Amino acid sequence: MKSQVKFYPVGRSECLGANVMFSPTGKFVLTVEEINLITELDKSELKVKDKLGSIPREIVVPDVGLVIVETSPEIDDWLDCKTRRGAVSKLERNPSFVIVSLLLVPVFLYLFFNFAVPNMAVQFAKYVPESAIQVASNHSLYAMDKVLLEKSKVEFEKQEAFRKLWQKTISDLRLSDRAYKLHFRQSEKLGANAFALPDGTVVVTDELLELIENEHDILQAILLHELGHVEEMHSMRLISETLVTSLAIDYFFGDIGAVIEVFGGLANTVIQNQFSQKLEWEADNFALKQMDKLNLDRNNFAEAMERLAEKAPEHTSLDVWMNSHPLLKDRIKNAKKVD
Amino acid sequence: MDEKNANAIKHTSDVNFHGKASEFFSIWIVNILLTIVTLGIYSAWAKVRTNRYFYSNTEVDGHRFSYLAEPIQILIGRLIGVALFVVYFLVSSISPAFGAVIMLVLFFVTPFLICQSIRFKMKMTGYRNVRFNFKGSYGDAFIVFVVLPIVAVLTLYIALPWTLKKIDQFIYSNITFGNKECGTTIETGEYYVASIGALFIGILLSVGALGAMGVSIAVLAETAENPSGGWPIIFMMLGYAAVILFASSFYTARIRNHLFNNTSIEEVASFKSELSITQLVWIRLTNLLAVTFTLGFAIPWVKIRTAKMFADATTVNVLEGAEHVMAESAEDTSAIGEEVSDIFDVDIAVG
Repeated sequence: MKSQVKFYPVGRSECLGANVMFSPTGKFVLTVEEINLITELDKSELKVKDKLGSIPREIVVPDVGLVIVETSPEIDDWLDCKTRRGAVSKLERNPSFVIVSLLLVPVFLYLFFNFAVPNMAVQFAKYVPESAIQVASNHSLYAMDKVLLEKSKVEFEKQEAFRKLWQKTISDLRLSDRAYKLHFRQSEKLGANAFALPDGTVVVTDELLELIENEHDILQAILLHELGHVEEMHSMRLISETLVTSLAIDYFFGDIGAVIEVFGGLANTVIQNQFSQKLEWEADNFALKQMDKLNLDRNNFAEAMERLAEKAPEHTSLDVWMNSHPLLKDRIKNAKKVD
Repeated sequence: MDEKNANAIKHTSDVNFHGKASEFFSIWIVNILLTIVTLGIYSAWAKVRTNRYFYSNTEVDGHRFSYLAEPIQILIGRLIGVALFVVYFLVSSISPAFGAVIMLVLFFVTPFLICQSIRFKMKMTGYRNVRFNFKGSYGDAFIVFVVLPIVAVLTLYIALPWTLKKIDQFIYSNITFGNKECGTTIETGEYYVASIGALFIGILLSVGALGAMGVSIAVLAETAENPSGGWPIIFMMLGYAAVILFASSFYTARIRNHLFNNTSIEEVASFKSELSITQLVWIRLTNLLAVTFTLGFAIPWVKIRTAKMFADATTVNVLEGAEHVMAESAEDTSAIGEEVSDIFDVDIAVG
């Protein structure tokens, strides 16, 4: 079979018309009349680029130049037979495989983000050294003290009473040997809130104490939720989930241009929030379980959520996607349900 | 041939883009599937296939571009890039202080990575069997990517357009095509016109959007017993997206046209770009809607039509010397630079 081709001699930008004879025996004969060139090679000596869509085939003739020939079934067959070069392109041109991919990709993405990533994160969290957890906690608290938190206005005796009760709860539960510390801070910016650091430090705001009117049992319920975050190593899990997710989105969808990145960012937020909500549920259920052990009424947990709900704006259907925490009404329902 | 003749215009050529959305869709979906199945390893092959598809479907003066990188180069670069990113990410999530130290190091490494990235991209681009290259030095890169941005901040962004011009000038005057050099005569004034115009559009739209939002909230509050909930946030996000869309399209179109119209490769080509702002706004808006409402499945179509639009807006004056470029010795270049900066998101798109 003979074809008209474009020939680019090596090392120059010149382009010449040429002929190539693709012989059935595997010989490749290039004839460039303009420069009186006739080269004969065996197919195995050519460097051929993989077939891709309907772009012309690029054939590098070593030390001689580049040959470009329009793609056709005969030429593809001559170039690719007995090699694996055309394999991916065959898949791409096979309608059934494309349809299967179309169905499998969403399924795989779902499995990946729902099972693979969370499980990887659990494994990862186990290997984070204690010293890293200490440093992370100290630095985070330092940063938050600078930016968000003020000194607590609650009297010292009252603070100590809360601490004593908390230490008793911890020893009653016989959990890991972490040094659980309880801090109080005032914060207008955070409002009624509590958070846990990975080393077991829990911070409660004055605003939260005010909201629950200093009721010990309700505070216990909230603290147990925070304890759940610590015991289940949620910080480290969330860090690794975030990391893997952003890498995965980058690799699966690649660079998709300026405005569409808004879409990528949105997808990332939604996925992150699903992870975070899952962790909140874990912490809630951890707290409820411990409350049963301590013979504390589960209604205290529901009460804490209800108090928070009074302050929070009403939910919309969007919040399920755009919020890092599950809906309060669902959390209340969960606390009130009898196992 | 003497220099004067070599720089004369031989003829003018359109830029033709031959990519087809249906064909690229298959390539894209198979790429994603294989990337997932191989836990990300195939992404290097996927990147090469995608780039080859776009390069080889772009034709100027009867010749197509080619993308020359080997997947294995990309893979190695990616592994190093991911390793560095993971270290950076973990260290900075564990301690903001360590993160700050790394940022400081990045300060000095970034210009190197940017140069490396542009060089890789250029060397992997071939046209008429000759490679492009990039000759920018670390010292110059440090000035335009580190020193001048600091100057821009210190002058309360008054010097920002000038900084942006210096960056473009650094990039486009250091590109080479074989043994021919690229040159640019871009002007600072145009960057100020584009920047101030974008800022003006941004402010105008923001004021308008805020006004409209105020009205809509008032209306919702009056009519709806139900809580208006997420709607103000949605309006705000849409308003924000619209401001970004119009302002950035204004800037992008103007600067692209200015850059192309004032850049040439000696004895090879000069360029003309006639990208209209409304065209750019329209395509970006419809792209975003298409991708959102198809949950991402319109990405291949979006990429093809965008490439086509940019190609259609461009013409090339082919100069007399285009046939007489000599290739430089094509020693290999490492993909590391590009991948590292890709992942830290400081990659600079050329053209």
